Amino acid sequence: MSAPNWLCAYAITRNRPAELDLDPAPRLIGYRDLGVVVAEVEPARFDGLDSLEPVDGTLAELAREHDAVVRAVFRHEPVLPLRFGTVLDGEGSVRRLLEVAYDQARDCLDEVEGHREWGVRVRYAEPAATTRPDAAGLTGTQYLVRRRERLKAIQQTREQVFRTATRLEDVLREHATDSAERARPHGVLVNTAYLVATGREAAFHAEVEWFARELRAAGATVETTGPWPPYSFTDLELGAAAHG
Amino acid sequence: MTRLAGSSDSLADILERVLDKGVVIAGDIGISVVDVELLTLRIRLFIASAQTAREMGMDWWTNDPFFAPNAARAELEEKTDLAARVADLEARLLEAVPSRQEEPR
Repeated sequence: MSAPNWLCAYAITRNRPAELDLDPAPRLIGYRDLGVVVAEVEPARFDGLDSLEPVDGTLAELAREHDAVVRAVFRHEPVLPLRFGTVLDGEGSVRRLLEVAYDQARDCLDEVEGHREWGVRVRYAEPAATTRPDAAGLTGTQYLVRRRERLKAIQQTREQVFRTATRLEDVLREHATDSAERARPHGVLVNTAYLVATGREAAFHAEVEWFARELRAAGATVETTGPWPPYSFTDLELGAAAHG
Repeated sequence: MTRLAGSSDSLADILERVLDKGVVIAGDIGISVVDVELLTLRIRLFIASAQTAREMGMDWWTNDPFFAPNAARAELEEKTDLAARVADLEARLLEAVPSRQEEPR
């Protein structure tokens, strides 16, 4: 039995060869009008992930590489990014994947075509309610009055930020074809990915800007990331439906 | 390796998408994926990178049902809720107090 020819698969796309600005250039394995972008890989490259330094180690390198290939394809064609670390044993397997999952993959590709993903994150670090006013020179009553005013102000700001963030999400959803909420670590009010048609991006960003001003005034920050290939909108298990 | 033309998006954002999202291949369609490694890859990545990632503020998986079913989010909500209640009770208490005579500091 000969050693398999391991192929790292990055994305499913149209079966149209494009010049990718990458070295070494990945190649396209086609089946009908779909193709998978692959590159030869030593599975051993993934072995080092046990003891990695995430910031500048193997994981960072491989993840950036994966992202770079997906993006390079995405500059020319719609893509369905494959999960990081998808390694197949040769061209036959890649073709078979497209054969089995053809309809599923093509439908999903049609859905995301003409769209890009944008991430919107609202952070709000509330002033600690436990900090106390400087008591020097104050009577007990004055101290308590100040303390109460401060707590009230904190609460009003919090309510305002929450309301504005909720409105932001509602409005952005109207401009997006789809949205996906992502995990919110502490201090993050909104962490949502939006799938936006390229024709609506200007309106989408105008809304983000408008709300960002309002949120900034209340002490929150708004970050956007993107454009991304539609990573958050291709939660698909290829082949599963075909057997369902 | 070659520096790939990248984006300005942070590593945390890239990892969050690349490791956690994207199309997966069903195990039962007879295509040989490097499965033993891949099956555990996500978990191994998580364990290996958790410490430094947390230091970078990338603790998105603490709310990820895959890693922490129910736990993290519930805890967060509980904390936020408690903080709000404490502030509220404190405010009410303070409203009651100033009616008393000025007291020595």
